[in-house]
Amino acid sequence: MEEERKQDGAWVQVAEGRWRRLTRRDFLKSAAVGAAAGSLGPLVLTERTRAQPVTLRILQWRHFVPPYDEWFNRVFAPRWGEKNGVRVVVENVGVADLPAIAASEAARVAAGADPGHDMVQYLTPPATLERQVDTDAHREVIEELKRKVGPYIPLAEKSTYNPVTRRYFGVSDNFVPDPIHYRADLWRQVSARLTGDQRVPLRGPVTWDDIRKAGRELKRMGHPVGLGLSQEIDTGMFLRALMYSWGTGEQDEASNVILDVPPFRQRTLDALRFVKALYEETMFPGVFAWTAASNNEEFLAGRISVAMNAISIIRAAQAAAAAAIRRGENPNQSPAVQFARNTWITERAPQGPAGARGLEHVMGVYFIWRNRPRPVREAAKKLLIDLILSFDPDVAAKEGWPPGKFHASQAYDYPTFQNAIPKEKRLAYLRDDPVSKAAGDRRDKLVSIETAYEWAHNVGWPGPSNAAIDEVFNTWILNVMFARVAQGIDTPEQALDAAAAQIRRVFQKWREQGLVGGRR
Amino acid sequence: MSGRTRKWLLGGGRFLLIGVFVVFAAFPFAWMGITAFKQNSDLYNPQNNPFWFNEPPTLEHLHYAFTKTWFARWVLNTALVGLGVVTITLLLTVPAAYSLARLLGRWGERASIGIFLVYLVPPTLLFIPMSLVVTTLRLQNTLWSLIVVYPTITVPLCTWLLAGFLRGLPRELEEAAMVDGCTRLGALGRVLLPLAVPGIVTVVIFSFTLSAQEFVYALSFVTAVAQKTVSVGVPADMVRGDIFDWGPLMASAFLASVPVAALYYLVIERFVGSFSLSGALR
Repeated sequence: MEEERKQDGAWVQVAEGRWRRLTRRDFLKSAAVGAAAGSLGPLVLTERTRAQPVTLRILQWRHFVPPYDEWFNRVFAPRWGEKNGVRVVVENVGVADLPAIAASEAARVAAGADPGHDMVQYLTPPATLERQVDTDAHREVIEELKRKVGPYIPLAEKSTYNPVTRRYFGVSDNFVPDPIHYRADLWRQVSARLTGDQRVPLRGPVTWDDIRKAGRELKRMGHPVGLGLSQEIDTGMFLRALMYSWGTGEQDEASNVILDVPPFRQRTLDALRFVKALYEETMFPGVFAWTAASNNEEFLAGRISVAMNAISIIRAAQAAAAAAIRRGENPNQSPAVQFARNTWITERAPQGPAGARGLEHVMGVYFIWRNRPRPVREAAKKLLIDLILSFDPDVAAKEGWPPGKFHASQAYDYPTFQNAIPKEKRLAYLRDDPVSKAAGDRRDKLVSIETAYEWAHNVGWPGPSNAAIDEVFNTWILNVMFARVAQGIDTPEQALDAAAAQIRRVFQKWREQGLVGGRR
Repeated sequence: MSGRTRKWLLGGGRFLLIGVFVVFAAFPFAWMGITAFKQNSDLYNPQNNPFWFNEPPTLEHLHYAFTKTWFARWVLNTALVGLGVVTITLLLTVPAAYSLARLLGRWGERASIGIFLVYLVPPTLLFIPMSLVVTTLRLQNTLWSLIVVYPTITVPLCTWLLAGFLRGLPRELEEAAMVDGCTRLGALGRVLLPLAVPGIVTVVIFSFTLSAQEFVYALSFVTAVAQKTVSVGVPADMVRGDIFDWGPLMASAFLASVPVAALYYLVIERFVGSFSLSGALR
């Protein structure tokens, strides 16, 4: 009987063992529902697909300025996500942890697996990751921003563009200047004491020679100069700033190794001798055990009188001063407020025989991993563009995520698209800096940081920050070269020859991989 | 020199030696404890005595750790990961160690040394290939990634430790149990394991502390703040750029080490026994 029903199309099974004859009305109802589902289904499904938000996963550092993370994580990212139908997930890690995480994510990208994040903000130029990142997306973002707000500064171009492959391995949103910090009260005392050819300017050091001359006195007063000579980032920055100011460096514009090639060889030797004298006359053995935190800690503890760092020293001093004022201390007597008032930065990088050249302290560079799904890639590009445009407080306010990147970072993040926040708006903030004001400090104290556009250079200047430069930096070859001379272990010639040989090997390795130019 | 003087000198020397060792071992802990309760103005003044309080103690750093960071969650995560790792380690280690100690004859010792050598491969070399394994298993950014990966560190070491311990227990006890009708598994469970408790305690302590202090895997596999363990969460969230919040850092490190210290204290006799019992039973 059942077999017969199955063969007779007019019967339908409604339950186990129960059959019902299909009437004409049943057939028409079923056909109508089927047709409706067939025609409307794609629309309904498309709507459902559209309603599912794209998820964009971002990894970035835990910003030095806490309000910046508050702004990015709780204002910008969610509101931008809501506006663009994207679920933005932001994860913050310590700056020192980024390379290890990026290395494991790069391995996943190379293996065709999900890296774990779609976009990463690095704090150094990520040239070694070029093969794992979406260089086309980076170019598109940079070109779009150039159209919208104008030029990308040379420091950023050299920190994100590989002239050999003609690819952008990242998009720099900001850089952080690296000025000299000094104790103005101590400096004034020394300035008043030194005369004749030992005289130094009253308003802080202008040249490296000023630091050496005043440093001798400062050391005698118990407040030596604190510039690292160990295997860490701040030492690498200080020594390169000094070398570039002496007219030498690791490479030329075409990525040929130059530091031991005439006439650069003599300049490098002069720089080595200067640093040895600077150490012996103005510093103390602790600089050989320097860490990334040492300049902050030693300066803020009142021990050293001169340091080179991002504006984090001055901001930390101001934070302590603001806390003292909140506790009810009298600003004119509070040691914390006095300390902040006496912490100054120089107007420019110190000058050497060839010029006043400094470095970026931190180079903010975002990169998008290769092979991300198209909607994610497009979302990452749009977020980057909108983030950089949001340097401008008016743009940020109009979009609904005030106060914008520059104000939220308290002028720590300086735009690499210089006009992303026009100069007059930057200066307006710096002339009436709310952080300085809350600390009872001079409101326009940081206005000179604006000159960094003229003196801040990339690591590897005058060439690009390529993969070889990255490896030379992170294996501390120059740091060791200077430290061995300062300690009297090697002569300047021995240290230079050993470092140059190592640097050539590194360059050769990366040239063989097709990522670095030059021949020598 | 009279016998009494000699006795005094020997006693004094022993106490001096123990005293030096105690200071050496306890100093970091004491330093953490003091710093955890110091005010910042006290902590950062180089004129102050760094070994004691120059200003009244404060709970400010503990308050910061518990209210401004995910510290409590990280402690819980660390405990969960530790528990998972200890369980997996015990499940794998006990049968492995028994087999190596009893069933493989002369090859057992060589094999256990071979297994121990795996422990010597550092995570800094393995974290990149391991991250691919974690991705394939879809465990990224979860505590499971750590629970699955950490036994690759703990199992080799603990197998080697426990195999050595079991080898020290008299084979006759087990054989007697089997003569009395126990199966091999029964003899292991009823006779050998109760005697091996000090060794098992050692395995528990080692696997828990190794998983609690591990950094590289935790750093590369887990980036979501709510999924971090103490070893990664504390340095990541209490260091901003090149500014270290020493007060909260020390307070967190101090608090995180208290349960481990308490665990050691509770099982210290069995722990020490694990090093002496095997010899005593020979």
